[in-house]
Amino acid sequence: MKPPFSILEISDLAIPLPGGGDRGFAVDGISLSVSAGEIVCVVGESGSGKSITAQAVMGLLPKVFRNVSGRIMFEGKDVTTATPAQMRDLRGRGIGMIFQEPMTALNPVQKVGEQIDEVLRTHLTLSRKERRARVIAAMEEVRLPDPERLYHAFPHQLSGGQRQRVLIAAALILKPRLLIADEPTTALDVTTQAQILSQIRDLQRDRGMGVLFITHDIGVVREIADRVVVMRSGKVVEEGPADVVLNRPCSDYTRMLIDAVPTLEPARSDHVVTGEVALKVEGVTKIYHSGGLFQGKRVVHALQETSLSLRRGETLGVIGESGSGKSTLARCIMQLIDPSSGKVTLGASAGGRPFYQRIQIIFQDPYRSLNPRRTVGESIIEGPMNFGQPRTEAMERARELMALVGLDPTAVDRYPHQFSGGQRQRISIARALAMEPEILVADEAVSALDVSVQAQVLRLIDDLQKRLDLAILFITHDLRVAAQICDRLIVMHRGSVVEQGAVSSIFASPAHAYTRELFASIPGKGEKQAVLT
Amino acid sequence: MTNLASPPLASVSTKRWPPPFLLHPSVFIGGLLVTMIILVAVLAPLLGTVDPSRIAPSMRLKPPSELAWFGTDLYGRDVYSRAIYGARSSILIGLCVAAAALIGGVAIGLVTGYFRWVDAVVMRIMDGLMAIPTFLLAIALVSLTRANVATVIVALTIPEIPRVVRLVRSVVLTVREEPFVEAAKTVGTSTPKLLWRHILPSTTAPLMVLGTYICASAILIEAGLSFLGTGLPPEIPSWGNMISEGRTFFQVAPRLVFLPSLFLALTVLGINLLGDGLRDTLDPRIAKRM
Repeated sequence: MKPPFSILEISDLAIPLPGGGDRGFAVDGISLSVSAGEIVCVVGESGSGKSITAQAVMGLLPKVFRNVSGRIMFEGKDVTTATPAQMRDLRGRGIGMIFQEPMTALNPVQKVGEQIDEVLRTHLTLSRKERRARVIAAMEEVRLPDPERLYHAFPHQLSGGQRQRVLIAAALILKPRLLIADEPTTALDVTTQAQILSQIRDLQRDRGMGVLFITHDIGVVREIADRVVVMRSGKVVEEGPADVVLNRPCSDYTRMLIDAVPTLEPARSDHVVTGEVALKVEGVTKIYHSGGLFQGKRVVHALQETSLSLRRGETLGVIGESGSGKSTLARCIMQLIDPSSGKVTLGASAGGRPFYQRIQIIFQDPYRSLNPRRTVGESIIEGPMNFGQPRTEAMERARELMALVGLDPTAVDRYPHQFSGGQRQRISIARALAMEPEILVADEAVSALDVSVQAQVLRLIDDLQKRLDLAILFITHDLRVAAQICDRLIVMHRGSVVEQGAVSSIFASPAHAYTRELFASIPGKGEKQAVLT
Repeated sequence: MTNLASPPLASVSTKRWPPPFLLHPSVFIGGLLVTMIILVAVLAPLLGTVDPSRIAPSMRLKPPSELAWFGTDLYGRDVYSRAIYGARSSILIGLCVAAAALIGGVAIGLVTGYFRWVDAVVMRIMDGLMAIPTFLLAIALVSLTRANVATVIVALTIPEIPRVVRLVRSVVLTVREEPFVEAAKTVGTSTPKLLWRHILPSTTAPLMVLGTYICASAILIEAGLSFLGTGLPPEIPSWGNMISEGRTFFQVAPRLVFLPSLFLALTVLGINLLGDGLRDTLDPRIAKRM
């Protein structure tokens, strides 16, 4: 069912990288096309050149990229040779675009209605009343609740999903023939992601527009794509109808990408935990007060009456979306913030080791959790040296740990910026292990990583747990990841625990309505089993 | 990985010489000017000068000659020698004030930024200090004691400290929330070490820039104080003193004002150019905007 004509035709697009990069071209001779009425997903890991391609189509390439060659034809006209005035007219009218982070894509000090209105003011000459009516209609079309009231809201007053809807409304108000969506759901919770995806799908069907959808998430691709383009290092690796690429991939890289997505099959259903209790959390509550003298006081219950216990050799998953209190729990356990009530106790210890030698944490963002001004060796030995280990001995141990987490031991003298995201997360793990802890708290430790790297780091954590008999508190929003590594699960929603139990039983029959919604929202579920490898 | 081949001591080998910021035009020109003035100050006795305080009543207000290249002043002192030696007091005061203000400001700023309860009290004091114009505060402080180099330095340092405190505090407030700082806490790093190792280094670049501005402003204010007669005592040669004394004879001998003014202008210009250049190269965000 090849649709009649292609709106976007990219041929031999090559964008050279400015000097000093690890490769010559950001985008290296790619060709792809988007037809009216189809959704083309460009999928690839970070650094594959997918976002640069989208920017090139919009004429929004940063100035450092020069000497772009190849052609980008939009409805038969070459975008690369268009004048700035022509491009301005094309954006919004011909091509709409939505971005990854809806908070930063909106102006924080302008009402959202006015921001949608700006598109109309720029492109059309309409009376104030007509414009307002069209903005309200556009907001209704993306199912924003109560558009009359939300017109006057500021971005910070909306939820992430609502903000993304505002952006979609702004991008589509002039009925463009092509929508470019650059990771539009990556920053959103899974339940919101599912809503936004179905919305993009509906709008696309109603209007018969073409969509160029950029994502790193194979699950999202399964949900939405008609055709798939797989990119790696600036080149197209594979291209074809979604059904073919996802179920009968012909390149190894595509197969690796698909296989790296964890299954929803609990991996540890036969794992028996017999270790002693290592961590006990009893009724921990964290309440934030804001406001004060002149305004009414506002009380935020970040965490309510949470209890859990964790044994040696066990991985307890804490599942929840943003704002569910899972990170607050981690910070209370790590004594980075004081709980309002309740207590955290560690199991009986041999030899009375200090708190921070017994429990360690791995943070989410591998780019910010290492001090950029210190070598990774210095970061790793800092803890042991704080507890009196001599420098040379600690350094020796740091080298062993680097080897343990699969890095070159001589790399201890390098700085964090010389490593990739996955390597940095390994370094963070090495730093945590340098303390020889009994308990490891992993706060979204694999969420910022590409799927292939994610799989490696998960294997590493799994392996280390077996070797060192660690108790792991694994905080994540991703049920697939949880299925791979956890023995038991706690599901958190709005600061409280709504469900807990063994992974296999929760996955088999989720009891709480929220847990069921979480499962229903997982993108691309159910089809994974059909993959032939 | 592409960098496996780099030598083990990557920390040394990654530093380039000359560092790229030295090649920035204003850093280069400003740096050159400042270096020359410092050299002049240090090498003053070797630059064909005579004792700048030697009074020769018979040589009063002589025009330039081979003996006195820029003539003599009201008391027969050599104008050239006095201007050269004046660089010494200016540079000394500029550097000392900048160093003292930075050290004091960093210490207070780190503590106030990190400990929230100190913040409320200390920042109100700083606000109070900032409300008074620097120059007035300096005059008031100098007039409390007998003016000499040390008291002038103290008097100029105190009004500058709040600016440093504000800068350091703002950096600390953002850096203390960084995950790497929390990570350091969870490996048991004590608070002083945390401040020193993980937070202080983030302040160095903006501090270098602020330091140059403080230095320039201290030199100017010192000249102003001396001009008003509340600064350095007249026996110490300083550009402010010279301009002040020469002012009366401006009609007869403009050179008395011209030479020290030229030195003062070049010095402040050099330091400000250096500061602007450093700001542009060390803070790419501002540089891009301009």
